[in-house]
This record gives sequence, structure tokens and C-alpha cells, in this order.
Amino acid sequence: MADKVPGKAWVVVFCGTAVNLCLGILYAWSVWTKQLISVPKAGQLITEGPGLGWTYLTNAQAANPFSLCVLIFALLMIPGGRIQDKAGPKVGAITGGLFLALGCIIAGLTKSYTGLIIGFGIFGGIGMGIGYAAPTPAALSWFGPHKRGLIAGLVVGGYGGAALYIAPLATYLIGAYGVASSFVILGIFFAAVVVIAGSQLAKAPPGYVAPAKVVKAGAAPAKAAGTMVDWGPSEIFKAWQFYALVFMFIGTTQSGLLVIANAAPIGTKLLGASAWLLVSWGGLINALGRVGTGMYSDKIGRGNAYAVNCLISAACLFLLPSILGSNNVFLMFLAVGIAYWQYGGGLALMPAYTADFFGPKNLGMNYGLVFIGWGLGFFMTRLAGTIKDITGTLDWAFYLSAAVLIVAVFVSWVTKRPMHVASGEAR
Amino acid sequence: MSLDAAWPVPFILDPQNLAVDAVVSFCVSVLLAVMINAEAQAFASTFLGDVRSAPKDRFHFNSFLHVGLLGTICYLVGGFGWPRAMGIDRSKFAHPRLYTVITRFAGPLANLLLAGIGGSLVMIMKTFEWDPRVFLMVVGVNITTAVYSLIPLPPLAAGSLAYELLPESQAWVKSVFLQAGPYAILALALLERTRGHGILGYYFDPIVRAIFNYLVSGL
Repeated sequence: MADKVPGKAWVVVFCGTAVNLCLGILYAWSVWTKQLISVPKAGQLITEGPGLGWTYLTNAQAANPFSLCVLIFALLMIPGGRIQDKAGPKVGAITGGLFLALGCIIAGLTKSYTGLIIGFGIFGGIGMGIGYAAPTPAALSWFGPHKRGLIAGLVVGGYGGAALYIAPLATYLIGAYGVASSFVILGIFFAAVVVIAGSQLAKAPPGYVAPAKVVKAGAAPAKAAGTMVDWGPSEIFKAWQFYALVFMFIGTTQSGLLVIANAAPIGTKLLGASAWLLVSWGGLINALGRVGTGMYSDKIGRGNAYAVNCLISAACLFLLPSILGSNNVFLMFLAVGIAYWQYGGGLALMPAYTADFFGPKNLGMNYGLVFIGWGLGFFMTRLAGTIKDITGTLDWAFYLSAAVLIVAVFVSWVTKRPMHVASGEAR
Repeated sequence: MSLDAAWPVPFILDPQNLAVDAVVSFCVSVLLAVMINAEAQAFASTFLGDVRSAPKDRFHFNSFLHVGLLGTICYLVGGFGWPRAMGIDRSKFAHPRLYTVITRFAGPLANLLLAGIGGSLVMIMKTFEWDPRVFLMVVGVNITTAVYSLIPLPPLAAGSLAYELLPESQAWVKSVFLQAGPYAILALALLERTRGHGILGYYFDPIVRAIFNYLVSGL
């Protein structure tokens, strides 16, 4: 069978990336708050500059809309996956995108803290929660297991990549038209993009069979990497492989977040006022890691890609105390880059793994359940804080995190695709 | 972060002072607490044997479908509450009484877990010098939900333990206990709210604050 998908499949992929490029506005939030924060003048009307007509905010007020947006995003992500599974990706993406667009417009028109809470916090969070779950499963449904890593990487990479263009675009708009108008203009822009791109999203039609990997003449036929059965959400709990995937997600998240959470203070120590360079570098590598890992996971297999990322990252974590002690900027960028790559790579690998193990039909919901591992991965940052309180350094937190990564690699090696006994599936 | 700089713990809505950020943060935190509590019960129930082929009341992770009237009123009045009752088919359990209690306690355990994740997020935000007020609310509401589940009245977790300990021969007592439990909890919360002090807060609030302090500030 030829390794060729219909043109529509690539349209879905790039439209999915476009939708995620809009939803990633979260990463650029600080561009707006920078114009509005002034603790001594909090509550006073801004009478000049881009923030004209707004009132100054405290740091807490500036953080609240962002935090609420993140929480509501998390709250609606799994129901959003269900909407995608039941009503289709068009409905999910367009509804989500329009909520976000409306939220931006409300935030801009009201010129108030309440408007930011309702517009960016509530409407933005609803939009992201519903919209984020739509593009990836739709795009994956068109491709066989040998392409899922790349496709997942391309689509989720859009969300991370948003930081690269929204921040400069918003900075330009704020400078040219003011804070309020920048929200309104971006809202209208997002609405246009999600309606156009979202309307192109579609799952593969029933009966569609994704092209298999090309097999060289004379070579043994490739083993099926992905299941042909679509597991229901309540069924996946019965498979131990579900828990293994959750644990593997915990592994990638805990180590990535440990470094991400400490990148800013580490950068400040080495780079002073230019610490943002390290954080921006991390953001770029995070986006690239999603596409890159997805790409080579299709070539060398999910398990091998997972092992490569995690083992290199674990080695880095073991060396991180020495690197921190050496004050070598190059090594610091390298180590932080590897951590971000591994973290981003995990976010591309896990949806592909979920699709391989449990099928593409209920991927929105099933991946939402596997995503619980991402939430649980936060424990290491908390534990690291306690370790630092007790020992005075983060060294043992880095070693522990590396050890968890190595255990996760062992788990990935023993975790093979589950067999759906009820449907008589065989390996 | 000092607790005084954020929200009171446990947090109770004050109708005289309804700030939009406090109301929204509290409501979102309650939705999260209710959802995680109910879905954890569903997970434990399924894990212990109550497997359903196409369940309607579980694994949808939709907070709004897990919200119940009395539990929500209790959140508004007393800062704690419970989700809509999660149906359990006890006949599918190998040890019905024990597994029912374990299932009910899975809810508050998950709330503590979520509070732990929230505490980690608070620490991450602090390193970025980002104000974590909203996540402090999530931590506080989830700990409050978990700790107040120790009230030995149904439908709270400890109430299910008390219910199971009642002798089978006292069927009508068990029935009344089950029916009246939610109203009794609500009455206690109302009494405490109107009088400004009472037995619930006296015993439970110090536990809530101790766990909260540990999760957001360390030992």
C-alpha cells in the first residue's frame, strides 16, 4: 500500500496548527500586564500611554486572569475532548476559538480588571479548554501509527509556537493602537482564523484506512504498531498500560517542570538582567521538541524516542549541579534546552502513544485521561522545594528527578500495546 | 506568600464583600473540587469491581453534571460541600461494605492530591515571581472539602463509614440517617455561619490550615 494520505489530511493538520496558534495567547499574557502593572498607583486611572483609560493593577490582579484562564482550561479540557469525539472537531475548534475571540474583545472593550477576569480569564479559559482538544485527534485520525508522532508534534507545536508570534504582534499592536485596541484586534483576528481553519477540520470518514508504512520489497511485513480497535474511556481503566502511560507522562512532566520552574532563578544567577534569554530559549526549544520528537518517534518507535529523550535528560539532571557550579553559560543553555526538549517531546509522544494503544476514535477523551499524568507530574517541583529547605540546594531534587526518569524508561520498555480481548484482537 | 495576603482559609463567601476575583476563583475551585471528588469515587468504584459498559454518570469529567443542589448550597454557606451522589452497584463488589467505604473515601483523597498539585503550582509561580492567589484558593477549597469529609454524616465520606457500621437490623434508622444526613450537615453549617462559631470549625479549621500551610509554605 502506498504511503500517501489524501490532501485533505494535510489541510486538517495545518488548520489544526493554525487553531492552536490562536489558542496559545496564554503565553503572551505578560505583554499586556507589563503596560498595566503599577503597585504604587494601583486603582488609579491611567491618563497617558498605551494603557489610557485603564486603571493600574497590582501584581496579584495582573496574575489572576491568567491563573483563572489556566484553571478553566484544565477544567474543560476533558469535556472538550468529549465534545470533539461526539460533535466533531469543527464544532469544538470553532466554538472554542470564538469563546476566546469574544473574551479578548470583552477584555478590550471594558478596559477594566473585571473585564480581564471575565474576558480573558473565564471566556479565554473556556475557549482554550474546548478548542485545544479538537485539532489533534482530528489530524491523527488521517494518519497511520508511523506518522502519528510527527502529526501530533506539528499540531501541539502550534500551541507552543504561539509564544513566538503573539508576543511581538501584541507588542506592536499595543504600541500602535493601545492596550484595549490590541485585545479587540487580536480577538477579531482569532475569530477569523478559527472560523476559516476550524471549518476545514474533519475526522477521517468512516471506513477510511490510513496508509500503512511502506515496506521494502522482500522485507518482512511491519507489525501493527497501533490498535485497530477503538477503546472506550471506561475500558482503558482495565488495561494496566493506561497506568503505565500515566506514569510515563509523570516522568517527562516532573523533570521538565523542575528545570522550567528553576530556569528563571538559574538564569538570573548567571545572566542577571538578561535572564529572559534563557526562558525564551526554553520556549523555542519546547516548541521544536514537540515537532522533532514526534518526527523521530515515527522512525525509531515511540519507546525508543521516549528512552532517548529521557535518558539524555536524566544524564543532564545528574550533571546539572556541576553545570550550575561551573557558571558556564553555554552548558547552562544546553542543559536547559535538553530539559525543555524532553518536556515538549513528552507532550507530542503521549497523544501518539494514546492513539497507538487505544485507537483514534475516542482519543479526545482518552488522551484527557492520560493527561492526568501531566497534572501529577507537578509533585516534583513541590518536593524539590522541601528538599531545598532541608538540604539548602536543589542537587538531590535533580538526582531524584533523574532517577524517576530512568524508572519511567524501564516502564516504557515493558509497556506494549494492550489487546482488546472483547473484540478478539491479537498482537 | 503570607496567608493574610491571599484569602482566608477556609474560604467562605461574604455577601457583604463580593469581589469578582474572589467569587470567580471560589466557584472555579469548587467546580474542580466537586469534579475530582466524584470522578475519584467513580474510578475507585470501577477499580473495585463496579464496571459499567457505557456509564452516564461517571468519567465524563464535566463538573456541571457532578454538582448537586444541597452540596453546592453547603459550599456557599460553609465553604465545604460534596458532589451529586455517585451511584454504586454494591452487588458487584467482593466486599460490599468495605469497598463502598473505600470508594467514598477516594473522593477526599483525590481532593488532597489536587491540593498537592495546586501547592506545587504555587511554588512554581513563586519562582517566576507570579502571584499565585487563584491557586491558593484551589488548594484551600480542596483541603477544606477533604477535611470536612470527616464529618460522620452521609453523604460525606466518614458518613458512609458511620452508615456501614450501623447494624443491618436497624434498616429504618439507616434509611433516616441516609436521608437526613445532607440536611443535618447543611443545618450545622448554617448554624455555624449565623452564630459565628460552632463545633465544625472548632475541630476542622486548624487541620485545614495546618495542611494548607504545609502545602504552600513547606514544613
